[in-house]
Amino acid sequence: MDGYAITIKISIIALILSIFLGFIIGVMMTSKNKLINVPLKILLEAFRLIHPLIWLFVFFFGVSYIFNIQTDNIVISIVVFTLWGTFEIADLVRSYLQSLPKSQYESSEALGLTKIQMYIYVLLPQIIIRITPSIVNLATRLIKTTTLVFLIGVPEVLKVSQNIIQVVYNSNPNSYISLTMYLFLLVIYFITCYPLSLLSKYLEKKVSVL
Amino acid sequence: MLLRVKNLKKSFKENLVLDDVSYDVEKGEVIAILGRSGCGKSTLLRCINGLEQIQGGEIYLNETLITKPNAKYKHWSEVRKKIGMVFQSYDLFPHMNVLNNIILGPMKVEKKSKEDATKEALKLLERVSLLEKKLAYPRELSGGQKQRVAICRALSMNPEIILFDEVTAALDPEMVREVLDVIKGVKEEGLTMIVVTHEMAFAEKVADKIIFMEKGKILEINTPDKFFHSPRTIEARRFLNLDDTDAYVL
Repeated sequence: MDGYAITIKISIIALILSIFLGFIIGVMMTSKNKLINVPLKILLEAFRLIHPLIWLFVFFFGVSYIFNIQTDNIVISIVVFTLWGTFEIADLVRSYLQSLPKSQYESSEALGLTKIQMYIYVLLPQIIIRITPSIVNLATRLIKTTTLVFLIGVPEVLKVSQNIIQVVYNSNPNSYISLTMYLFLLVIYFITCYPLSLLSKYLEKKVSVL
Repeated sequence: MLLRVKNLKKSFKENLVLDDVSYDVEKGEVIAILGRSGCGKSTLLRCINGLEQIQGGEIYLNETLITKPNAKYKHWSEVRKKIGMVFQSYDLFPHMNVLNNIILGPMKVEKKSKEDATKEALKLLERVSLLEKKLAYPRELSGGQKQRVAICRALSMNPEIILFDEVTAALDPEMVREVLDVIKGVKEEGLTMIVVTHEMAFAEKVADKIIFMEKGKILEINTPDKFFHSPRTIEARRFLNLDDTDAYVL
């Protein structure tokens, strides 16, 4: 069960940080300034195209090599998933912001609002309702992907169950432990992800009525 | 001189949209800008509050330059406290109710307290007979009601000039009436206004001066009386359909 706790812990921290940073970066990506826009776009594609798993390895081996320290695997997992989540959310934020009618921007400016005020009071509130289903969707994918952290040694739920299977097998080769364990895993993932999926569907329905 | 526009030039890519436009607006004046679609009247309005960038010329508010950042106006947002604007598409903020739409500006830009801003807002709503809708959301209002709220929103900032950009163009005739009545009321308070409109009768009744534009140039500036009945320029006559001889070509 500890493995499960770790999976959840990593996911939640990464998710919260991603949402916070993702919104900031998303707003930045709407800027017309090429100096800001282009590097961010490149980073976005990098984290999207290359599977977080590979980034996990890159960071894990890269960091210990460059800085010559032994880093905590959990911290690395959090960093990698935060980066991945941040850029995914940033792209969502950017696209929803750009889908708002230009007149909202204009009437805010005509009122004398500064750019920051415009984003905080007028634009972002309008996209938050619409963006929530997509973020819930992302959260689901995030949780499923954190399974991968076991590959860098974090005792995550899949690995732990494998260990358990091993141990039990050694003492009692006849037991159905592996089947039981994997079934157990299946149930845990289902219990975690299905409510999220339902939440997402419910939110989508609410949003489409607006 | 409240507003002075000097030699304004504006192009969209290669298109010259405003060609050496100059005029003055005195405090308390109501100016109607008339002309065919595409003559540059909306663009002219939008240059005054900085929504469009100009490529030449200057604009002065109370003798202070506003088209370039300076000591008095570091940023367009400071100019816009003094120059309000109401758009054709109302553009109320859909996620806020009527009251919050109106108090957002005063609270965040002028740093008024919520109580003060609300008091002012309720007074404004009463003037346009929409007090009972103060907690309604924009989607529950008719076009005419939304436009009246938009006018309140602009008024809440206590601007020195208000710009109206074809505010009745998207409304049904009966809603046009209620909005024009509000604008007439605003005039009676002595507020300076520049109104771009197609409503000729309204322009004739309410404006102190008519500016007639065509193809990015001001062709004629006249009083409504003279403009509508005996304009100086041929283009104005054509625009107003005053010459019957053109009408029937067999």
